[in-house]
Amino acid sequence: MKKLKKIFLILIVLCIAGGGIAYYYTFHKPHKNTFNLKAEYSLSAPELYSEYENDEDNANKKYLGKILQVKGKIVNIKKFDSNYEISLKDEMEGITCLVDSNYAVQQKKELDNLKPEQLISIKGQCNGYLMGVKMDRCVLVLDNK
Amino acid sequence: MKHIVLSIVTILMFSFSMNAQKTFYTKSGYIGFFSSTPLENIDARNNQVVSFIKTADGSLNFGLLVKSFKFKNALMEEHFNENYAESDKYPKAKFKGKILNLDEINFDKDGTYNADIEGKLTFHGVTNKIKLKNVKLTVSGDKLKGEATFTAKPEDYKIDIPSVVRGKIAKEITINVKIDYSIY
Repeated sequence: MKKLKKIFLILIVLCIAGGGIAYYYTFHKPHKNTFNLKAEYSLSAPELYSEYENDEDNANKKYLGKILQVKGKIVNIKKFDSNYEISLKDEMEGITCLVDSNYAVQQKKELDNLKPEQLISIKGQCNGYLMGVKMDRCVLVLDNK
Repeated sequence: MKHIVLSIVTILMFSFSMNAQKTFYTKSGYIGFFSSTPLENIDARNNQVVSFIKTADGSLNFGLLVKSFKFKNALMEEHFNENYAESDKYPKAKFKGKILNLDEINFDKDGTYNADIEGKLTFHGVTNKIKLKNVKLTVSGDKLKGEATFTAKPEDYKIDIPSVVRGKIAKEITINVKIDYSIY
């Protein structure tokens, strides 16, 4: 009988602990890591831009909030507060990709070596269209698969 | 001859004054918002804000993508996008306004000026008229820095907050704007 009580107590403690951990992970779950995410669409910077230019609503239905892999020519690289902003295709009419500082630290060497005119692949979340297509949580795709 | 000289002088003056009218712009401005309650602090940052200021008429334009607001907490970001801002339905927010005291600001002279701004803010498909006092504009050469803080109420933008989480979201949200403009 005493043993049963003990098991019962242990079970209750485990339940509370489990609930606590579940609660913690629901409310403190980390952001998805772009490195581990598979791109839902893979396309070139001019393709993505022209889809948005031709029909923004339709492009939004397809791409908004999704992870895209975009291949394009660098026109500009801007660094601010250890974030990198890389513009592909065109400064005004192109794709702006924000590599946030937490990703940038992992690819600092590669990012610092980027040069205009270079062809690169970038993976990140599409936020929509406003003076070009905006992406963030971006990472460089280095193996060019 | 006199006429020709006069017209040349007029043309020169005219073109000079045309040059003095500038457009400042950025496409990587910052807007963040903050909600503070004893239960929870919510903080979101957007570093992809597009903005133009035309010095000729003092008109201001701001545009941002709602999905560019980043939260530290992934769940908050999810709730913000799905339940409150509905960013799939309303992907953009914008502000169109005017500097009211344009005569007090000299965009050609370095210095810090206080601007009063009035305009229309559209968020979550709702447009409200807002007025901002003492917006700090700092001119230094070809650069212009703009800084503003104001508050907004979620219910003014038809954002329903369920009573369960009401205590976690402030009645008034503080919005911070920091823009570094360059000449367009």
